Amino acid sequence: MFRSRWRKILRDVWARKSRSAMAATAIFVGVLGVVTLLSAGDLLTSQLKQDLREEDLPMQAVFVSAPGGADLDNAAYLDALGESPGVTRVEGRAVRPLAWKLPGDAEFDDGFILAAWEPFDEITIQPMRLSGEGRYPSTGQHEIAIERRMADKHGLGVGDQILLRTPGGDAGGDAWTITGLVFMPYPSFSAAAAAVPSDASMFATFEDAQALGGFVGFSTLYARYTDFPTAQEQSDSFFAAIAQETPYVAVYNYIDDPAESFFITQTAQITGMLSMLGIIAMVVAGLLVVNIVNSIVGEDKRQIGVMKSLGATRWDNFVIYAGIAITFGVIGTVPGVVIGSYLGALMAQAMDETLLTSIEGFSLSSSAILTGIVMGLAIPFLAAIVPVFLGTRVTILQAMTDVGISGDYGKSRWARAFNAVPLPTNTKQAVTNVMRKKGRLALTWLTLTLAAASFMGIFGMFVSINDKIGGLFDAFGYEIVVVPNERQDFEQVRGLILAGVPGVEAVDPGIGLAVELEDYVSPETDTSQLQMTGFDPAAGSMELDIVAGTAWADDPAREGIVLTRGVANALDKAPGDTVALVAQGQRAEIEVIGVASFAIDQGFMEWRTLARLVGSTNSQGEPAPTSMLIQLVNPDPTVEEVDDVIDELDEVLLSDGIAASHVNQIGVAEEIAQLITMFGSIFQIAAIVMAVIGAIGLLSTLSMSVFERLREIGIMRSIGAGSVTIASQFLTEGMLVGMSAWLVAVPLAYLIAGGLLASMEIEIEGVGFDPSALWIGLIGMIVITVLASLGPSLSAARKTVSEILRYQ
Amino acid sequence: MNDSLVSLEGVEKVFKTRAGPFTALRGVDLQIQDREFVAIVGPSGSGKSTLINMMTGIDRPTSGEVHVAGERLTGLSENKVAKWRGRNVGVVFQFFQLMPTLTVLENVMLPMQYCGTYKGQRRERAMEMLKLVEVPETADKYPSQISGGQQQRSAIARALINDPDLIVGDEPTGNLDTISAGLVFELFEELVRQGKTIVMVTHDRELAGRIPRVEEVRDGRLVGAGEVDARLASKH
Repeated sequence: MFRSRWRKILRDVWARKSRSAMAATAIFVGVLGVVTLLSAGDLLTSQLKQDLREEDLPMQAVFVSAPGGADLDNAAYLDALGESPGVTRVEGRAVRPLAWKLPGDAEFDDGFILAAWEPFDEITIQPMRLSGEGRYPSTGQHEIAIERRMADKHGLGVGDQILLRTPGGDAGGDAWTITGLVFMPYPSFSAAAAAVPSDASMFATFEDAQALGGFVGFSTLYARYTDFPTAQEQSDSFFAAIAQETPYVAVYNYIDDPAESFFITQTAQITGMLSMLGIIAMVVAGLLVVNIVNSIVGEDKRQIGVMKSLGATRWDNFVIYAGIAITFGVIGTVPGVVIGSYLGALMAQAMDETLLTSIEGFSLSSSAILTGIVMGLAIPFLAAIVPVFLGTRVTILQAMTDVGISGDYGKSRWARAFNAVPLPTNTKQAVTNVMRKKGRLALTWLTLTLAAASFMGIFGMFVSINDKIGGLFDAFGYEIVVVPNERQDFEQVRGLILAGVPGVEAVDPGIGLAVELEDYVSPETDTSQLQMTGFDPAAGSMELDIVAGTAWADDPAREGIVLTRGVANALDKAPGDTVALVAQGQRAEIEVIGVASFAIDQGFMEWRTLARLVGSTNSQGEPAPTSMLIQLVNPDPTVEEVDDVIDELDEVLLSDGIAASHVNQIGVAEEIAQLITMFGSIFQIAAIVMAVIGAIGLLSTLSMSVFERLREIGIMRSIGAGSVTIASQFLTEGMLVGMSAWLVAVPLAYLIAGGLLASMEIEIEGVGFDPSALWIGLIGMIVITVLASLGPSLSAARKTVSEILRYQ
Repeated sequence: MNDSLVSLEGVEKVFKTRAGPFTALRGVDLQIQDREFVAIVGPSGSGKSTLINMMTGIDRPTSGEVHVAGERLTGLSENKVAKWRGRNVGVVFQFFQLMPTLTVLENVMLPMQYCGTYKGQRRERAMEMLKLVEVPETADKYPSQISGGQQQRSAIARALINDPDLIVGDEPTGNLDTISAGLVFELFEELVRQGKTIVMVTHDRELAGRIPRVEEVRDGRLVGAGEVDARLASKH
């Protein structure tokens, strides 16, 4: 009995090759999605958890700007800051740009020198680790350590020499010896707020790094407290102490709970969302299995009756048809798990740099594999239970007397009401057929609705983000930001650049830092810090879209603040009102002189006003910008063209002993666009997978409908219906399902876009949902519906009456 | 081709089955004149339904010629034959085969819509036909809401709607009780009197005995008319 039962199962699966292939493909796609996305997520978060030790992470990181040419007593500052309430440990770090090359190379590569005030073996916050052979470098010996990924990338090892370009030094570079390979699991950021790439990270003692990078002060101060709640309470005191106890200007304050590190939770969030999409795709695949099993049980009604008449119980039949569903599961799961594991490892490696970690070698995620196998087998089985249970309920009499067209329509209130609707007969038949099969079509409809809503929601959201980010970059009238390691005499540097760097149109002063704004709560950081930009309103470095107030239209030197609309609305402030800023421990009331439409919460001030407020001054006590905003002659340069100018700029500044970080604004815009596209594409793929499964579901449901209505088709043909009449009826049915799914998907798309924005914690003013997604979704839905309906429609139209009657 | 309404000449029909070819009709010659009422009888599997399928264009002969109402059916495409059938032949089935999701009136109107006939007067014409078959009260009901006899009368109205010369019934009374079957048969007799030609397959020897011309099919061949008359007579 067991053998014959499995023989029947396998033969039934083989006999319905196309439908078996559809079901198995849907499960394969679902399992592939689940295993790929879960594997990638698991590998990335496991790696991050392994690398980022809770006890090594700072609770507060303050990015600082150092005064130029000052004689700094860093040890005293660290001691003083260590006395701040609740602080248990303070460490100073410098992350500065450092050009390097291999001996024999013509050009220098961009790199970074990372140095801690503390000796290597006494670093307790975000410590690097020696990897394999070698040792940490010593001061004054021209020794350096490099990140192991840099060593791997360039084939470097302990004992090799590299040439480093130092400010004011030999243009050919000084030779330094690699003493050790270092693993730096923690992310580092340059003064220009860019993440430092691991494969370009070098390490030296603080004294050597000062000489190499041409700086005296820190770029970041790390602090740990007795516990995180204390850090939250006392972070403002620490921030204020920097102004009071040191000559540094605090540029940006970052607080994070080491127990729930942002880098881990961010990765977990992103991969969690992706995994959720994979699981939805799997569930959707289950819906398709329901349809297919339903159709098979429906077709086999007579067979079931015959088997029952021969003594088979309902359980025997149940086992056979549930076995078919499980067979679909096995066929789809095996390749889904194998390929998904491989793709998951590749995906983790592809995403590791973006998520600030490193996945090396090929690894498997056992939890993802197990989940894939369980879902791949359980979902088809669970999906099959109800249709099989209902289908095998058929009695022998019902099975053997199934003649003529099913005729129980017309008793419901709906049927009577619908009768009054004036519609063409063909459309009426299509509508009523859809309503008659609503149970079966509901699953397909649900799939298509979810797919359309996801696609439109994701597409609409990412188009909107791209649009707003594009608008944000449009406001910047400069292509390069130069942040000298230490504050410099602006006029002198401007003269150097204008005289020595071809292609530069203008060099304007800029200040970028965070200040405390009373009553304001940043939606991003949950603190009262507001990012401030100081610029010269008389120059063309910023082109703000002022929506209220006059800002600097009448007086470019006017004192006051322009708030972005999000901030103004949150504080309920309008031009003429005042806001209170706290900087350097001092509170200052500033008049709101304008409100600007800008994607991200910010404040804008005339740069001198801001410099005085935050204490960014030169040795003469005059306002000094922290950055220089460079406008190029070429109004529309490429990333590479801007990079070329940066190379020239670097050379001019280094020759004059000035080391600086640079930001290629065009490159940043492109990177952000690529990042958005990458995440958008991943989400879109998941939505498209669902749409494909929905289309297969529709195809299967309509095919089943054609089969069930063969007699009806035959009768229509026998009383004069042509192919177009018959095909149009099935096409109309498909379109009805597709269009109603699209209609319901429209409001859902808005909800999905809102939900995704909330869960991804994207705080960009005006970002929401681009309605163009609805029309693209509609076109997509029409294409999917037509493609899925075309096969069954043509198949129905091709049926000849004799074929049908013989089959019956 | 001669002047007969239905003309089958040397019609042979072979079905390809997994067990090998099965010959359903073997060289059938049959002429049916206008206004004739013909019964096709014979045991199950003898080829009765295949024979009438040849006349309606539902099936095509493997060899031989079929002409109906002046049209050579073997030369028409499936689509053309569907349109032709809708206009020229009324088909009545044993299980009525009304579209379940359309009302009786809409069912009766269907052939006119498919064939593009009687534009602007379809509703009125359909009502006329329902009156003719004496079930006008069923017009707005769904098939599931009326009796089997009413359904078959509605199906006959549908068959008559494009005013075809030929009505073909495949056991049209086979699924009806005696009273309903009698009423349907009387309706057929009346239609013949009005000028229609009716060919019907029946297993009912009593009804067949009331039909002026009986053709018996045995093993795919037509048995001689005299032989059938004698057998029918011997049954009574």
